[in-house]
Amino acid sequence: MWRKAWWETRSRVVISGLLLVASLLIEVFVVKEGTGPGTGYDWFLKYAKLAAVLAPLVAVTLAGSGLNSQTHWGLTQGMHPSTVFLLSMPISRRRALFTRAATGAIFTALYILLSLGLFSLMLPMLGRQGVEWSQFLSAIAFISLGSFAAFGFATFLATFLDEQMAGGGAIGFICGGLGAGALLDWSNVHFHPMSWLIGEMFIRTGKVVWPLVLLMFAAGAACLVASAVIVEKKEY
Amino acid sequence: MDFRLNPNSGVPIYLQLMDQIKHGIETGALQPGDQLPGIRKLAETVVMNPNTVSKAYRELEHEGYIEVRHGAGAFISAKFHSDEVHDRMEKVRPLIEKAVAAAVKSGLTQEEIRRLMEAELLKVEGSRS
Amino acid sequence: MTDLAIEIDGLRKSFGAARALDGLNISVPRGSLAGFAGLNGAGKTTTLRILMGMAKPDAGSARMLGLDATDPRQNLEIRRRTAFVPEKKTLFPYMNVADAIAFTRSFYPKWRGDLEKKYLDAFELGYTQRLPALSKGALTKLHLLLALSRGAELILMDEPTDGLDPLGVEVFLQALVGLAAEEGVTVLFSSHRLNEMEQVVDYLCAIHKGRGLMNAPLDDLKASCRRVVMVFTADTERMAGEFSNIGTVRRDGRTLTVLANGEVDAVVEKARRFEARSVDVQVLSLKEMFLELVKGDAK
Repeated sequence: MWRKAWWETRSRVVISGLLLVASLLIEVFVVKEGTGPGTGYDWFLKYAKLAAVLAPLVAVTLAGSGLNSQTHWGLTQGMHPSTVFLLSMPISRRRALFTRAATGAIFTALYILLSLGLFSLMLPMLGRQGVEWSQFLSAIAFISLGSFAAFGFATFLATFLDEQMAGGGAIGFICGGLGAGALLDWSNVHFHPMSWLIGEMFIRTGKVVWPLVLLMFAAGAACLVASAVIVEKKEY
Repeated sequence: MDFRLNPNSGVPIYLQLMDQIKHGIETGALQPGDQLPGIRKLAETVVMNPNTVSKAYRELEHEGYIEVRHGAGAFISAKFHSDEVHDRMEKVRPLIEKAVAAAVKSGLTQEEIRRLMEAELLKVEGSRS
Repeated sequence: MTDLAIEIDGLRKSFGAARALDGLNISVPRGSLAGFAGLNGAGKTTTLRILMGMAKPDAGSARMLGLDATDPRQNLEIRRRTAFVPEKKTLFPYMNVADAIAFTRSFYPKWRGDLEKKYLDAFELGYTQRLPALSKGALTKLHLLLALSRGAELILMDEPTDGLDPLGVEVFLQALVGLAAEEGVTVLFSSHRLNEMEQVVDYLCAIHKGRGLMNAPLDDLKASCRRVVMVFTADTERMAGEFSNIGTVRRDGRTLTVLANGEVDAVVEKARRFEARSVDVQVLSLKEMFLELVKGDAK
């Protein structure tokens, strides 16, 4: 079952791997050519912002494929033959869903770790200051949070939408969040849906907007639970 | 021996198989002592249900045409002398032909004729026991 | 341990306004090779789906191997001991034959490696063939391989001969017959090929418009079902009603055709009373039997 899940997400992983490499290269280039002082951390933050946008996208991609690579659970093509075959196996629906979701989550986590980790390692090599552990970890934590929420949302959408639509829907949501964030940023309101700002605010002001953190976590969790329930009740 | 069975003809397949085995015995294609294929083997060769083969073999054994030796298989029984049966059948055939022709002419259906004959045979069996 | 491998009672299932199953009663004894006949849309696939736990019935009960198929946990146990061949045969497009086998095998500890090799040969499949590249017939054969090698007690197949050429059908039927010879394995397969079905099954279930049509050992059906064709001197409109409680009636001007199950004498008797010009009692093939029942019902 695990093997199968890996197989399904294979192409997506390759894509996200490419994204990872691409984003690293871009940032490296930017850092090298960048003038001005700025601590390593500033650069790290810049990269983290990029990663924070990309990671949820990766999560969404993997979520979309993890559950929906053959529109398994989507209603529009609800009776896909591979799904029927899988359901005839002695595996509970919950377990099938879980295996797939877990695979997607693992890869997303890997992406986050690798992208941020590699970048942090490269900073000193490019003649900039390194990044401290606490900063590194907090960045990871908050990006993971954002990805988790995105993953949950995409999973939820995938239970009743076509693969493409679910991915598109989740991506649209993220972009909407970004756009809203940009607007709010302008008006200097301390409310931002995107987690990296939470991270940044934490570093700068030492304050974490806990309600928002809990909200994102809860929303993501709720989406996943809802997906599980929908999948279990579904008929073929 | 090749068996040609028609599963769609309406005649029960096990009867068809029995008839063909009996025919084989009468014509000499199957000699006393010859071994018939195992149930599973025959079922797979002819592509028919093993229960059907099993039923045919049981009936044939019951009628004395074959012997089923435990663990060894089914063998043509030595009791029947094919020539003798053949001769007897040839003698009785014209009598049966006449009787059936008369019955058909009188307007009875095949089913009714068959029932008449079965009733007669039952009478004979009844008087024997 | 129950005698029945499958036990369906009063099963009802509607999809919106469409009533797929309307009080279905079907039972299949353990160890039988059973055929499941029915027109397109009669409810065969819906029944199989409910048995495999993919859909829930609105009413009625469905039991397999003595367990309740409508209860998710029991259904999981059922699926451990049951193999299923679905109607639409396409499978994971990114796998090859070896992958598909490995995937399925991972779920079944009782996998029969010997059967796997046997069918791989018999069906002429290769481990490295990619699934999307397989022809429809080859894909069906792969499904059969996966179903038959599982070491399952019960095998359900939805149109397993769909897409197979005559040789493929022959090889499939041979595999079935070989399996039937093994103690304790029950097989139920739906098919439109009634001629082939008649060749190998020992038990028959038929469904029509969501209800049971036939449910008996094939030998019994063939022994008791007869088609009685009666020609009368007058139009048969009034007379048709006389026969409709004994069997299924079809009317064609002066000819009445009745499919009687075990009541042949009564039919012939009535025909004589109504002064039929001719009465013909015919034995039937399974296909003819089924068509008579279905056509008669339509009227």
